[in-house]
Amino acid sequence: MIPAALVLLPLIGLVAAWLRLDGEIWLHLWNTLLPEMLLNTMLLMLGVGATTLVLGTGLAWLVTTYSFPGARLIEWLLVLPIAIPGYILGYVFMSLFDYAGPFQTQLRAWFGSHVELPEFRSLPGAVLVLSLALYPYVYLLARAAFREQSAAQRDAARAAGLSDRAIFWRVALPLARPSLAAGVALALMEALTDFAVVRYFNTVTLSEGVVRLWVIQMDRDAAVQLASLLMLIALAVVLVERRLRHRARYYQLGNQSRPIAPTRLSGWRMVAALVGPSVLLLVAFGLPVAQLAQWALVEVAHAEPGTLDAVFGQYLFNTVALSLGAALLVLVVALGMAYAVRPHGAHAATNGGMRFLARLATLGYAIPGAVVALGVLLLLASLNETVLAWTGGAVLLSASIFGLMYAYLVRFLAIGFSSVEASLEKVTPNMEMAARSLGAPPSRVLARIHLPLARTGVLAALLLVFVDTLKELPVTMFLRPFGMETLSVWTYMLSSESAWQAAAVPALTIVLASVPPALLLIHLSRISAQSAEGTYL
Amino acid sequence: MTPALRVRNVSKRFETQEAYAVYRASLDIEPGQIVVLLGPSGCGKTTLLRLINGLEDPERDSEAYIAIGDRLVFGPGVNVPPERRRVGMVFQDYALFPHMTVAANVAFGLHGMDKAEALARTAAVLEQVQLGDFAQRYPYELSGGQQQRVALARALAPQPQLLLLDEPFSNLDHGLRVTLREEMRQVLKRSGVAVLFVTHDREEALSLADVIALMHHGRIVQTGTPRDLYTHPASPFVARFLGEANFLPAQAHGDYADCILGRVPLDAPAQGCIQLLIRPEALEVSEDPNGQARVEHVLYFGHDQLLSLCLDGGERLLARTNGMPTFSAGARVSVRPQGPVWAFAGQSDPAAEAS
Repeated sequence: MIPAALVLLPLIGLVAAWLRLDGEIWLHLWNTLLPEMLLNTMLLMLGVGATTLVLGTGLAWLVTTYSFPGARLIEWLLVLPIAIPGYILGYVFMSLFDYAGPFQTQLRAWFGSHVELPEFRSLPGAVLVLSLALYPYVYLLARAAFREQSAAQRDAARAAGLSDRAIFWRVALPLARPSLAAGVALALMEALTDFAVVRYFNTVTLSEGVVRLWVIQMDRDAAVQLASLLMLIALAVVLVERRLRHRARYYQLGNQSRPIAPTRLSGWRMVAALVGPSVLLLVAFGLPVAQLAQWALVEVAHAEPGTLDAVFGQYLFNTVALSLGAALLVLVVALGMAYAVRPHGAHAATNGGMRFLARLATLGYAIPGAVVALGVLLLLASLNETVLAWTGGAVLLSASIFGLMYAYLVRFLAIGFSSVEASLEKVTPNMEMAARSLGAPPSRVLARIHLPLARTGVLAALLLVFVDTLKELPVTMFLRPFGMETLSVWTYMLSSESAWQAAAVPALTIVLASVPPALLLIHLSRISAQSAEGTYL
Repeated sequence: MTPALRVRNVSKRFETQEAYAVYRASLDIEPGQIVVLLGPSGCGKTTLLRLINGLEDPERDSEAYIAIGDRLVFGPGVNVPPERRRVGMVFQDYALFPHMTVAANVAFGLHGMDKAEALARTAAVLEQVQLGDFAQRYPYELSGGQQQRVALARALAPQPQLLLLDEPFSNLDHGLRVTLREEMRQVLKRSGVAVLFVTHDREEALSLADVIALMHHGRIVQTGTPRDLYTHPASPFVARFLGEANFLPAQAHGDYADCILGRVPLDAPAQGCIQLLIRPEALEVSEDPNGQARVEHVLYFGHDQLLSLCLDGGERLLARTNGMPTFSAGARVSVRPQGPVWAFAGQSDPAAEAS
């Protein structure tokens, strides 16, 4: 199947790097930064994994099991931090909480200059930022899983004499395990992709190392070798997640039975249930957005008339054009794939092979952006050489819109595919056969039955891919045609030069554009935990 | 008159399975006739249906063909796609299009027809199934029985020569089934369409069919009227599939045979060792202290009752009587077969074969 091959080709180039193991490069890496990169990457994954698991699961349990004033609102708001990409939250936090920032300055003003907090530019700082930006993945899936559990199960546990606490540990949590594993895996994949936050926080990781070797030291061979190692770790995350899920797909017998009636909280418990999430939301969303808004206002007020408008307009146009292109491309491929693997005919199981290929094709989502970018670049470079050898004329494919779109497809096909596939499931094999027996050829069945029924999934896929492309950093940064800036690249460039105020304008734009799809995610996961789990995997 | 459907020597084997799902099946349906394809689940009846409407391709075979009316739809060098076979189909789960109103569902197959004509036809068919008032509803707003009638109307709207129904009653509860069955039979008969109806429910088959084709292990083992199949089954399997049956070994002497219950007249002359088929309702049971059997237990249904009897020789028999007389377990009774009896040749225990 073509899409699977398309997606896997760039990755195969990197796997091939293992066949050409370069001892010298590895020796050099080992003697310099490799041990530190490996250790930091592991610690980052541990830290982000543990923090997002505890935060996401705890908050999901709170909003699904208890009722308190404002619970419904908090349930929706808790997903918002996902709208702030790590590279934006990171730089805002840096400005607020670093030694010279207003937070520590204020502390010194109150308590004297001897007050010194641990260094904020450190691995724990990076873990904090990434966890705050990524916990919503776990929250969304855990919440959907808890919601799907039936009251009957809890009643049975209660009748067996289990306390609320025991029910959480012994019934709800084990039942939700597949979803929790999926959520944490998503958070880890995002953490592995990140090279910006760790760079702000002076922490070298593998992703950061690949970028450094490739862009700063221009040592592409070494970058490829390191990238293949990073890819291996990312695939390990996928495997571990599958293993944890291992046949642990728990189905509710029959349809969603009686939903769980939440327990009403009162007194100090109610206050705690309100204050806890509120503080978290304030730190992870309210404060950063307020800070960005303030900077942006100042920037706009002080900018020379016309200059900001022109630049911003151009970059916004580039961003929207790229994101729209990526969304449409992904949608077309995803639709084709989902249509090809849909269950149809008497023996639906026979297209198991196709389904496996489809799953392979969606693997790109687990691979860090820098690795995908490097893989695409390698592939296109060798393609260029082939074309050059055949035709004698050079076709510059690599640093072009083509390469960029290709990489977006590899990265985001999973998102488009799973949301389209889930909605195509509404068309049963019999519906399709009924339409055909009524005289409709396959094209008319597609137009009148499949597409109308899959409409919400198609729209969701478009929106999700659009916004993911809009805030995407590594792929865009490394593969964009020369001189083609986007909002995300612009934000990163300015913020890494500590031009925080100037970076606020594109950053705020990205955050605001990301809010609607964040809310869409919670809506989708409400429809079905199953499909939300499949949203990315 | 050309039959509405002619199937000859059609076979199908799935890649993953060794045995044939359908083996050299042949079947005729006359215009306006209701043929019920009956058989246990997994016997290949649904596959045969799908071969007829083109959703599945039969094995290539120079002797195999399928003709609908005077159009050859499958045969050497011919394989018409399902959308051009003009065969109506009603599915077990109805497969209504959830995003369309009842009227739009019914009109789906009228694509290409003049608009006013299509509207009129839709209204007429909905009226036929008594759903005229529901045209603007959506499928999820309807009851199961109503959904089934929409599915029937949708399949009938393009006026197909042949209508296929795949267990359309299996999602309905028992009481509703019996009423809807009669209604459906009337609608089908009025529309004059030739019908192939698939079910595993013998009661449904016996009451609905003009002709029953009984399938077993991918083969059509007997075709005939319901009465014919019930009274003159071609094999012990057919006998058992259509109702409870007692098999008694006997010695045939031309027009009559001797068995443990005495001398009985035969339906068809035979000689030597045979197996008698005696339906439970063909046994006359009466309370008799000197009878040759004992009542083991009674299954009481109200309008009738099924008695398990044990003969003094240890043989067991099932007898059905009307619900009036009271039999209690342990009572002695006398048993007498009535009417001419159908028989199979051979001595082997047909019960073993039937399972």
